[in-house]
Amino acid sequence: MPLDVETCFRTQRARVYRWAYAMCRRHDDALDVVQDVFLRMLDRRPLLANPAAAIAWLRRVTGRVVIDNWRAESARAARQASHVPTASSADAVEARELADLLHAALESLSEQQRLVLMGKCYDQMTFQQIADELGIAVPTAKTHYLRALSAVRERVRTADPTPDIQAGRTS
Amino acid sequence: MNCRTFREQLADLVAGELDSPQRAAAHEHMQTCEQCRELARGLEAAAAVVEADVVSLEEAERQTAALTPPKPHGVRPAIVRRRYPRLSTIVRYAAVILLAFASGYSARGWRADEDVSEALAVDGASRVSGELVDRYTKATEQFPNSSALSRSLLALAQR
Repeated sequence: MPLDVETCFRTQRARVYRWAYAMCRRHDDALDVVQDVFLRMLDRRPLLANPAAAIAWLRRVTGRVVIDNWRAESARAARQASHVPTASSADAVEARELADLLHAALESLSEQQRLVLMGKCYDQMTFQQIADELGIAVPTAKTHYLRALSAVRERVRTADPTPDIQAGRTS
Repeated sequence: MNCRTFREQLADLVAGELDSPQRAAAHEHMQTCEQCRELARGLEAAAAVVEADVVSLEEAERQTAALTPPKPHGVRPAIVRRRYPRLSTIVRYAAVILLAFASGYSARGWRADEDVSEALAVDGASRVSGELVDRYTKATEQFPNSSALSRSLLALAQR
């Protein structure tokens, strides 16, 4: 059955935006990612048997697009140039630092680790669901999850070794 | 619960997938083991950093409401081949032919009225045998009023 990209866009764009925003922490970047992801779908027309497969494909491509954008030097420069803090200055700086930490951490992960982290933290999937979607064993999914969190923790610890960050200041 | 069991269940604990008795046992172990407590707290803090600012689907729907679906790239029009060449093409070919003719004329000149013997001599003795030249001379003596072309043809015919 051919994939109807327009229908997929209408039903899944919010989900893609949610993932992208959680990774980018910037509305405009997230909207760009949504467009890029569905353009890739339009170009490649992946063979997706069911909506679950479409969601899995979208999650994987969203992660890749976000990482690609981060790695693009021009996008990085544009992000810095177009940054306009909306909250108070101190809050904005802190949020930006935290977002940069997250960028660095997510960029350092393998794709499977990132997908497990996205499924767990953004979609509240169980390890069983994640394992089924990625075609891996449940213990492997748990290992990826812990390693991904460890990478984030290391970044946070390196950036700010004060105990309050390690103990979950943002929670 | 010992440290090994705790770490086996660490992912479930941080992700909130442990049932109540197991969670209680894990928390009890964390009270007694500082290393495991530090580890669990650090991972929970990392999870909080990742989950911070995750918007709801409703909010995401609102933010993306104005987006329009991407359109496919424009299809390139098919190249239509003409059955007959354009007039400009014909003129171009004609100009090339004329130029080639003019170049040849300017290089060699028009030799219809020249003496064929001179032309043959210019073309090189290797291409004209001495015998042919002798016959041409003889034809000139025999038919002094004939044209150069007639004498040449006569010399060739006698060969």
